[in-house]
Amino acid sequence: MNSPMTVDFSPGATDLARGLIASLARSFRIAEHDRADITIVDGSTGWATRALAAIDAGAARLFIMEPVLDDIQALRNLTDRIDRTKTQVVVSEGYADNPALSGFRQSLTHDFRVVVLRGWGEYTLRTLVLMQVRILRAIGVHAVELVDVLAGTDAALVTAQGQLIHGKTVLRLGATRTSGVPAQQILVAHAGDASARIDLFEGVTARPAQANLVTAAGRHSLPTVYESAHRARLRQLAEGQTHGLAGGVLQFVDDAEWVMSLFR
Amino acid sequence: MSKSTQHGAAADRVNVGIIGAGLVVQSIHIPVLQRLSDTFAVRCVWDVDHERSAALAAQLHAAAASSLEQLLSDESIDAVAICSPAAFHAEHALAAMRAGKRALLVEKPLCGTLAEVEAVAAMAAETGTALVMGSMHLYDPAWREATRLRGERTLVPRSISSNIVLPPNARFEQWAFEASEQKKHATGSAWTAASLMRIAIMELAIHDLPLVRRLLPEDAVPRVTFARLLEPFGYALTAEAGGVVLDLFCSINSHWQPTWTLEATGANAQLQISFTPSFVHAGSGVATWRERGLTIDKDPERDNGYVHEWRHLAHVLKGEEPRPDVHEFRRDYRFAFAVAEQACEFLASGGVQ
Repeated sequence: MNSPMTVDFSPGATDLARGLIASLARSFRIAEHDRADITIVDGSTGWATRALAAIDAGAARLFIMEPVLDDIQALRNLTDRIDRTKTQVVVSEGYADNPALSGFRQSLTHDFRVVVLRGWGEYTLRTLVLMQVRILRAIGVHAVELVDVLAGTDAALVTAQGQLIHGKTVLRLGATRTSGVPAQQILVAHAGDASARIDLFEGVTARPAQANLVTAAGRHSLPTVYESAHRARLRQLAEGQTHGLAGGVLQFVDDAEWVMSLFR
Repeated sequence: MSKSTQHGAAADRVNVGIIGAGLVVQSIHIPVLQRLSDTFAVRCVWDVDHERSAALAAQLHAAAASSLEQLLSDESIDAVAICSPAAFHAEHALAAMRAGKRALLVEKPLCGTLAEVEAVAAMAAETGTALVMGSMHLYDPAWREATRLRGERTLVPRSISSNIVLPPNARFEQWAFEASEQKKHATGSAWTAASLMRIAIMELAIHDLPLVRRLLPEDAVPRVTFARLLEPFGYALTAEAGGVVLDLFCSINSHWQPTWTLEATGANAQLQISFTPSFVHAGSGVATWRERGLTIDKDPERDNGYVHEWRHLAHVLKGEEPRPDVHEFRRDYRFAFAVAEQACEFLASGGVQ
């Protein structure tokens, strides 16, 4: 058996991260006097600057937990630094790394021509839309092009076009800022003869996503997975899988730049 | 037991004349009126297709009028259901009011043009006719509960989403009724994207647009920023009104699972209503109100909005409820018309189709 990877935390990393490490005791342990294999960086606003500081301090590998849409210049500085130092940086996103998305993606075998995402939470609109774009990445959508955006102060509706398995897909992303209800993202994909839906909850808990596929044969529920996105991502990291469903940090920064361009 | 005891005293019942004998009448209004036979009696049916109206009238033991004038001249008829194509609603409503009918139930959309709506509203005000709009979602118990909750609690929407996913109508027709006569109607006209969008808004989105308007700030004016038709049929429409982002979406596809939801999300609360499809008599919608750790669910009821709109008409005629505010219907129509026209203009001006 391999010895556990050692972990330390950048300033601001939460107790949640410590709890996750404790739940994977054979794979990880908190570094004491030894050098950490992984530095966990809290993904709240300013995370790119914190990540830069961690790299400058000699961090070998970063694990960015729940990154929001941060300052673009700071993100660009980070990607430059990653490129120069070859530091391995893993992003862990509550929605896009939900372990249920892997099975959901595999179930998308019909000709889905429209994908609708509705989401809400106590984030900025930019972060809510970025979360949605990252979910789209996780189900295999690529070549995303903006068609229209309507952005108010607290709600936005983005129409875009992308490629998903069989061809062009219309994408509708509706995001609303609210503190009235728990954060959630609901994705529904429509084909002429099928629909697929996944309800995703925030990644800090193991509350499972609910996913189903409706075809002429009936409604098929996908297995529930009682594991949080961040724990699943840490396990992938322990197993040497550093590329997530939604891609790596460079793809994340590309998507962040795309989202920022919507709100100019 | 006497017949009058079984079905209510004949004198107490509202005698109804029906203009139009198409699918909506056969699948929706006739079953509802038969369920409410204590309150209503269908006396006469008229349709431009005389064979169709004769078949329906025979089924109901009612008279088949040979003309609109004949139906309207029947003095025993208290209320007229106007279920003809929308382009004829104004003509038929005005004629019914001129004939002295006390109440009209007009299927949505109220008319074909803004000028017609003004004319109908003006005559309703002048004659004191009770004008009930066939906006069944407005009468659905789920919406009524949502309205009650909004009166008690606070929801200032930031976004509103109307989301309709339906199999083609034929499937529901088969589940809901047996047509008295099935005819293949010619559909030879060449549909443009704009004309399809107008139909989509005024015949599908119109179910929810009056509710959307009531969730918005008073007199909010819609501004459509994006419209697109979807294949095989449907629409995706983006609009803003009163600072609220509106997402209107419909997809007609060939699988079996319908969903019909209206969702409004504000800073502190969220309202979700799930409606049953129109044609099937599957009871009311379900409303869910969520705010800060609290969820209030309104269970479904046996009666849907159609049943309640007819009951409302009867209560108005008996003086038990006030006459509907015709100006509200005018506002509803203006709102829907503006959405439809702007969506059509968007497509006609080279918007994405």
